[in-house]
Amino acid sequence: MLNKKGQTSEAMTWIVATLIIIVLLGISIYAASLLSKSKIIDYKTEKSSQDIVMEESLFSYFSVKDSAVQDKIFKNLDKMNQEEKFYGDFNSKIQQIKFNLEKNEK
Amino acid sequence: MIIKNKLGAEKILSIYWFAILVIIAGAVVAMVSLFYGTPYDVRDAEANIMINQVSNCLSENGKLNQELFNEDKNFNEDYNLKEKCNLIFETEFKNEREEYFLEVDFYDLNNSPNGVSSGVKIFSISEGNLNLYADCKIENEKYKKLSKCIDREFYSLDSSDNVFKIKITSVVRKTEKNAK
Repeated sequence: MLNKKGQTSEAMTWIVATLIIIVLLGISIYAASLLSKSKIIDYKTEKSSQDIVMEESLFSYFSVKDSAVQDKIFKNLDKMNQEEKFYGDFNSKIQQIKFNLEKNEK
Repeated sequence: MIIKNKLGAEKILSIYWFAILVIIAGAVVAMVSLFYGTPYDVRDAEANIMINQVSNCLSENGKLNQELFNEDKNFNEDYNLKEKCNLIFETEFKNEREEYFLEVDFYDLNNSPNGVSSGVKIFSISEGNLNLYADCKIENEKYKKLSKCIDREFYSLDSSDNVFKIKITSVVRKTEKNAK
């Protein structure tokens, strides 16, 4: 009688252990499937140092001679920057181009 | 009797361990195949690279390419975007349809009724499969995987210093290769 009780409790331990293993494996498989869905190469975050499109706009901004038009372009570019439409650092790029232009003028 | 019983228990236990081993191995295989079986979605990068290529080809240092204009200083209707910008739309797929679409819209900001911000669309060039453009308009989350659409805008000047806003729309389908 005592032997039978011992055998039952031992079997229960193994069943619980098996269930824990299966649950853990299920969680791992679910995590792997979630991770696989995030395999997207985001250009904005991968290549944030240079933005050719933004640079084109900045070059044209500095090339405009009419200051009224220049102001309007800047307002638009600033708005685009606030809306995070640029992939690069707008402020540092504008400073960099300004510095290079002033250096060339001297 | 006791020895016989012990032998039986050991046999059952080894079968159990073998079953557990098979389950764990199966789960590891499932995890690896799930993760590595899903392709990287590079369409966003591809669409952006295409925009960079086109913007670089249409405008250099903030000035529009002179080939865009004809002798009368109007936009050249015969401008071949694909050829001039070295774009290759052929893919390894043997599909009849093209997997790319590109549209470039030119907005005149000098003669705009609402000022520089909006502009009037005066010229447009497009290349590739126009049907893909419809995928960009779909809001349904289920169908968002169909094509990747990227819109970008920049400013450029012509030879007379007239300002133009150029909007490039780049669409890449290639769903089979990039999304599951």
